Amino acid sequence: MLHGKKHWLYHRLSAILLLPLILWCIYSLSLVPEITYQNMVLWTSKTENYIFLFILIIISVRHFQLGIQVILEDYVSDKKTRDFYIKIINITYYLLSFLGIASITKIYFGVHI
Amino acid sequence: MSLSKVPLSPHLQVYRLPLVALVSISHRVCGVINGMGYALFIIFLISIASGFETYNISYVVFTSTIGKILLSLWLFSLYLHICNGVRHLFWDFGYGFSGNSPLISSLLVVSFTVLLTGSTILLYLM
Repeated sequence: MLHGKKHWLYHRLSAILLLPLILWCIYSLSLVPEITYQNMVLWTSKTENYIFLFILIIISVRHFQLGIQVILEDYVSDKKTRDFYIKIINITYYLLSFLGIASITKIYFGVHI
Repeated sequence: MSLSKVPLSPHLQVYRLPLVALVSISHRVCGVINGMGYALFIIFLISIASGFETYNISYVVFTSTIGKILLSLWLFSLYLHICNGVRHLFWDFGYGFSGNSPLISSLLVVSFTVLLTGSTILLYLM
């Protein structure tokens, strides 16, 4: 768990990085003519899309974890309960991001090898 | 349960919030919604990686009317968090606190959110 100055700084830095990434993601996805299976595999396996998605998944998971920590610190006053929630959410979201990375990697190399 | 001496945040539901406060608390609510959307997006990616048959479930869900409505609400939440996030960055550098600028920027945040959500839906989801 991050605290104080580092937490604040990482939260802002991730926000600044996410701003162009998320707008790219919405824009790029909207250009897919129809979200058929073939089109989605093609979209994910484009090298630049794969790299951007990879970064987006990692940075947004950190941004969310940092944000939810602030909310829990404000609304859950019992430290033990609060730390437990933060840990559970952190683990769940690390697992989710890992699954996301594994999925896009599988799609990417499924097409390129 | 032993309570620490940190006071609880104000109980939001008992006040009728002014716009500035409403946008402020929406930032947090939308942040949580976006986090849930993140989980859905990951599930969507997993479904692509799982092959044609599994992906078909996602396809049916996301092209249905309910799917599109949920997607639109998620877009709204995402855009609100983005717009208000930009405002937060200005605040971090000390801009936008004086006079009625918090009210004006709140109106700007809401307008941009509606504009962005509306145009995205009109252009790509209809």
